[in-house]
Amino acid sequence: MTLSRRTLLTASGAGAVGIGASACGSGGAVDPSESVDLDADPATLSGEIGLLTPDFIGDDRLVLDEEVIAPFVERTDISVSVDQVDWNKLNEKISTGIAGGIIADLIMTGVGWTQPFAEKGIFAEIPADFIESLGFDESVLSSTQFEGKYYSLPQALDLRFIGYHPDRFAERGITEPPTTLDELAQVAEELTGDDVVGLDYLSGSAGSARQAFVFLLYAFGGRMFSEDGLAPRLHEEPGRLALQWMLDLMSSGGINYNLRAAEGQPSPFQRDKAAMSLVATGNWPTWKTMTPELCEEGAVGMFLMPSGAGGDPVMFQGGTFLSISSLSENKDAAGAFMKHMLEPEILGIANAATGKVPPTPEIPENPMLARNLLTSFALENLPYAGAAEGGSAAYMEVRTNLDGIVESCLTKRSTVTETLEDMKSLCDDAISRL
Amino acid sequence: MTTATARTETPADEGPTRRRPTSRRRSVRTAERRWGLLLAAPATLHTLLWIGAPILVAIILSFTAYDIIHPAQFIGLQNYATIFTDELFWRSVLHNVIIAAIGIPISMFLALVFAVLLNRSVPGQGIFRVMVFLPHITATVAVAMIWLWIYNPSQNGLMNIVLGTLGIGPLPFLTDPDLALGAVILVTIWQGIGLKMLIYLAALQGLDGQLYEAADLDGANFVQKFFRITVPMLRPATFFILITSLIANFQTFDLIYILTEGGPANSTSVVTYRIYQTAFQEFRVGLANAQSVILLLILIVFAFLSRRIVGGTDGD
Repeated sequence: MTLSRRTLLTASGAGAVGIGASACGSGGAVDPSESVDLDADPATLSGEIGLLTPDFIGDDRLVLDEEVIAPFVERTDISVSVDQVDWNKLNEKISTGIAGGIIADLIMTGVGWTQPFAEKGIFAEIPADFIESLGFDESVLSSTQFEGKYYSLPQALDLRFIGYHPDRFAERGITEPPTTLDELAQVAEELTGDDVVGLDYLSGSAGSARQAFVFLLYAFGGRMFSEDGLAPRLHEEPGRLALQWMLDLMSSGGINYNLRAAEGQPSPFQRDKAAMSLVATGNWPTWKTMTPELCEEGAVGMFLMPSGAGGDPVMFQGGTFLSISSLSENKDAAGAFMKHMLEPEILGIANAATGKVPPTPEIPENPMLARNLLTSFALENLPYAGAAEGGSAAYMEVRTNLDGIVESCLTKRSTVTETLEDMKSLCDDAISRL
Repeated sequence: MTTATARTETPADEGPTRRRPTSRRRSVRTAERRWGLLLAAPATLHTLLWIGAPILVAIILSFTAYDIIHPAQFIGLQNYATIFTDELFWRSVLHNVIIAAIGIPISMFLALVFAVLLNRSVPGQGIFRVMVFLPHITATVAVAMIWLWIYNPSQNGLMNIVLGTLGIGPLPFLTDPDLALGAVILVTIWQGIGLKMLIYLAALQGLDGQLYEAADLDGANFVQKFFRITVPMLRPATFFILITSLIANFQTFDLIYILTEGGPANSTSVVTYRIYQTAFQEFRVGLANAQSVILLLILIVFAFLSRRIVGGTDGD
């Protein structure tokens, strides 16, 4: 058999086109600006939606599948597939999903994530009238807006404050929790010794060095960005005080930078290797499993982060927010499932499993939730939950690099002044690209 | 079909007589050429589509501002200008260089030692070879997880248990910026010995035994034979391992991703991880492509060196 050049080229061309066409996929075009119809009757909706979540890890996944998703699937023709990813990989998961054209219909993200993703057009706008009908407190909705429109809704709050072992306080004759940051530093130093560190501030519960810094930044009366999100503020005096406070306490031994909880093992605080620790409401399930003795009434004392600026104490507000992807091919179904997840009963079930705090007190009686002493304390002090990450559409671009900058300072690789300059430069650069 | 005429022997000062090919022979050659092209087409197409096109796209994107969501905007050489002032990128390059400068020579030396030892007929030779080679064929994710446990900051970590018996530590291997890069280098050494040993082993088995017999007759001892015969004779293999290791070093990603995520304080960030951060954490895909082009140039230089040193004999 002989083959002409033309035949060969034709065959090659056809093959290339075929491969190219198959690579492009067969998905239909999606209009990102298409709005979500939250009034659609779920019974009339069908198809499959994807849920991307960093929560519901381990045993909690069963609760998500059987007590959150199953009731919804039973009463609709919508199936829900779950894609789970760690918090520290969520950002990349979303961006690679967009790049690959495989993006979940419903995305669960954190505080500070809404504005950047809304600015990029990844999140669909959520009708304001629906949000108003939920009756959520304005304090939990502040992180859900971008340019006056809503793009996410809180599904869970993860609130952080300080926990302490009362017996350690008693040993040193400390009768009251500290009320200023100076006092906190002094108490941490007093409690340090005999293989026990005074304050475990930088291990697991802090989330990261960045979040530990942000918490103190707010305690010293600072904030990350200006109101409009177009100028950094974290490099100002409260930022300097926050870094210096950590460095001073590390120098005196009250904070041990190298104290870390190994993967899957109890934290230093759980092992009684730290007298005080930053704790998060989400720690509760871990405590219940690993160290149930800490879940007894009075076993752990709690107090808010004292102010360093003569103001009110502060609680750090993290959380999990629900957003609908603007690239979803089934926005209405995603909207219906979002509404389902925000039903008071479902909020109670989900938050009891994850150990987090529902964004509204209007939750039906839930014994599991009621027994969570960390949640109870957080709910009592909800008005103080003012420390939160984000506040600028450029935040996601600086978030990870801020970790390295803060760590450089805490490991004495850069001075406080250099660190603050680096922070400002990083934020200015990211904001200039908006 | 005509039979091919054999070349006639000619004197040294004359070239062979060339006969003009007949039209039939020409058509056969043309057909053969076309069949050759047809057979090469799948591989060529694959290379063009899945290697050539992405490289071309990466080069094009490196001249743009692109964030995945919005259309790319041409910005000329701005990304390259940014790279030259990006301290973190060059620090990542430096980390690659440090890992290479320390890790590669040590792993090569240990691989050579193991290869020489395992080249002898000893009981259980096969088992030892598998043991040394096993880290290379184990998924890096699994390797990183194992070493996370070994470096465990509490007393339960194997490394700190061992150091504890010597009265040292516990040391925060992965949280101290002064120790973290060393900890990563140790893993790369452990993981890299297997393949290097295998190459050395193959090279050792190709050495002429008569050289050693002659050395024995001259009264050379083991050390003299090792340094005077084995090491010089293994020079081509050594160069090959060196160049391929350098290239592999600049492609390290998964180990860092699992073990340290570039931390603490960016003390273990390497080029590929920095590119990943730029693209998928900072959404600066254009800049990440420019960084990738820089990495590509680095790898091309090493590949060129590799061909010059160990290649070039296959006629292509």
